Amino acid sequence: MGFAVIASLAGHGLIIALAYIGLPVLFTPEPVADIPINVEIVTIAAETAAPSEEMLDEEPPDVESPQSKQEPLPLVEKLKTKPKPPIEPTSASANHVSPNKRPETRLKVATIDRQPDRELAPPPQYKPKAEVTDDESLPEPKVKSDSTERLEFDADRIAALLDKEDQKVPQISQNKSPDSVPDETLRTRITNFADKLTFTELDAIRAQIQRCWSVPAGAREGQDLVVTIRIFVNRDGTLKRSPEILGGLGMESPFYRIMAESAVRAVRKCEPLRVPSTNYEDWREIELTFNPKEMLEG
Amino acid sequence: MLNLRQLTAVLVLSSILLAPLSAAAVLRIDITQGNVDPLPIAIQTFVEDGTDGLGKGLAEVITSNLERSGLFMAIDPSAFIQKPQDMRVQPRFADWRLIDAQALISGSIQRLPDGRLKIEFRLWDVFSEQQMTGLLYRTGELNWRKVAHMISDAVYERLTGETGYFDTRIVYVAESGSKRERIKRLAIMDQDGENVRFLTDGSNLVLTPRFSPTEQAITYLSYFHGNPRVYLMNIDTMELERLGDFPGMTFAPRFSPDGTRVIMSLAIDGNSDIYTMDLPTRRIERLTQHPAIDTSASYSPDGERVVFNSDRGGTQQLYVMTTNGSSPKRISFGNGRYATPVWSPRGDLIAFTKMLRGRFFIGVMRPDGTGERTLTESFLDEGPTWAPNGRVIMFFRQRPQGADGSGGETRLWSVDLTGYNERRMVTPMDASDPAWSPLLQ
Repeated sequence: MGFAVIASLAGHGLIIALAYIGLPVLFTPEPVADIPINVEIVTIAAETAAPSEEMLDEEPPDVESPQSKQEPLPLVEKLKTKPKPPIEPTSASANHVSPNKRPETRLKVATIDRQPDRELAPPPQYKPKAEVTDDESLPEPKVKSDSTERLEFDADRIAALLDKEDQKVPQISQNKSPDSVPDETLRTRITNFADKLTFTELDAIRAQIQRCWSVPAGAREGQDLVVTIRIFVNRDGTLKRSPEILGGLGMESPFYRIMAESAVRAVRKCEPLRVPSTNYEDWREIELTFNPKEMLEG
Repeated sequence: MLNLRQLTAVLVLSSILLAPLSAAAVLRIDITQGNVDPLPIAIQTFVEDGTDGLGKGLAEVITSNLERSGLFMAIDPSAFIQKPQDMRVQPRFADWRLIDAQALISGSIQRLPDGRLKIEFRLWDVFSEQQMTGLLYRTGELNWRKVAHMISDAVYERLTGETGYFDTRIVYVAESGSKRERIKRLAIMDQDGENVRFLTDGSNLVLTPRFSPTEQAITYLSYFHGNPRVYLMNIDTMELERLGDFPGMTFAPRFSPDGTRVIMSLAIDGNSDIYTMDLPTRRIERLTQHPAIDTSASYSPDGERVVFNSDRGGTQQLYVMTTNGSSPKRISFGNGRYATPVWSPRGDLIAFTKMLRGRFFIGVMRPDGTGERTLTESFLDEGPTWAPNGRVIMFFRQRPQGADGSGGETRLWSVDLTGYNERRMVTPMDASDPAWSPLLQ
């Protein structure tokens, strides 16, 4: 009798132990299915050097009247919860031109949404004061003294940026309170923000040349043939002089000459190039690297 | 107060330090895509002097050659602005840019006092306004077509970088008669279909003619007196010679790259193996020793290896072995059966016929068996042969015969290595088994 009880207890205990260990597995949550994220591959141009002193002397684009761009976009509201600290220094520096800033941070400026709230703590904005003093060409910004004014200015300016994002040169010209930020600062700010070609402009040039380039079919499969030529462009898109063949991979191959000629022919066929209307210095000299590998696979 | 040396040092240093950095950075763009449009080329009638219409004939032959390659687009002569005689010194390039020509051929043909022809041509780059190449020929009157082909080769080579293939001939089997009573004759023609000449009279069945790489000779299979044997024919002298008289059947002959040997298949008692015969000494060497059927051998252009067709693995597949017959290795592993392998003159590819599910394909693969691609597909495509530049393949295609008796014709077709530009060759009658000659010297 006693043995049976012990055996029963042991059996029950075993089952309970198994249940304790095993059952939770049945209730583990399902792994979340991966949501495919659409990725668009964008070729990013190599960064050019930071803008030099001459950039600042360039004729600034016209400053548009701010009146038309006063309404805040709904987008501004949405991004209220964006983390602020990484943004503050750049937005502050946006007012005080620091030519040494990298372009990415300026792009961030365009996407920030500073909410028009007054609750935002002003103090971190004063940090970049040190940067400003490095730059002699700028007048002392009076904005620092009045934080609320700056907030107002920032929001509207950002909104105006968003409004005009289809333009080649982002106009950061909406000067809500004309006496809060001096005009010269704005002009220099505009110049520095637009000192690089946008991806669209680069792609436009690339697309043109690709349309005009007849790949010579003589290149053999798998042969590494890369030709680099340098072209000198006038403001209207015509070539100033003959393109220079700079050399590249596979120079000893007899096909190299054919490739180089096809590259020069492509550029000449595309003359006059459709070029941006501003920032001539950026695209006055263009180095084109022709690589047929993708085209001639098999 | 600084002395002169210190002053100079200061000046130099300060000028270096204060010199402005280079202003504009160079914009760099990568171009990785283009188009494969044919190059628009204008071929002007050659200026004539005492030759009747040959100037136009030259331009027409060159035009048809370049267009047939699929890499060029000849601009309609009626669109030309400048006349031939005005182009003697230098073309007016603006006129040619207007019609979107990127290259221009101009030339002249003149009859010399001794009856020969003097032909010269120039190839111009219309955009850079420069001459790309120019050549002069003196030749007998009957050779004007050959000169047109040589000019086409020169232009092709200058513009694509590949050697041309226009100064070549094709030997093939011309078929006529009904399906039951087929008459097969050896015929030879220029690669553009002109100058067709018959080499045999059709009294004996002839098959698989092949060109010698070094001289004007053809090797082929003939059923003379009912015995299938390999023969050697000299095209210039029309001398005929039988290569060996072995018991059994000899067939599928090909020349070695140096032209001194013929590789062929010999079938004795139902077992077919590959042998080579040294032409000067007539010595035979056996390469394969296997109860399976081994045939259709083809040398690599460096003469080191041989690709052949064997069913030792159970089905018809391609194998590669060394020239002395050692270490045969299978290279074809796809679905279907593989036959008639031919090694490209460039050495980088092997062309073959593939049979799969009742359809025939012409394909290429690399000598190690990778990179297999099919170029054509039809009811019956067979017998690829390479152009001397390894870019174009010619084969023969038979259309299926309909129930009403229509169809069934066999023609020569050519296709570019990329699989594009399938073109039918113009032959006077049905044609099969083409073989491309090397570039004629």
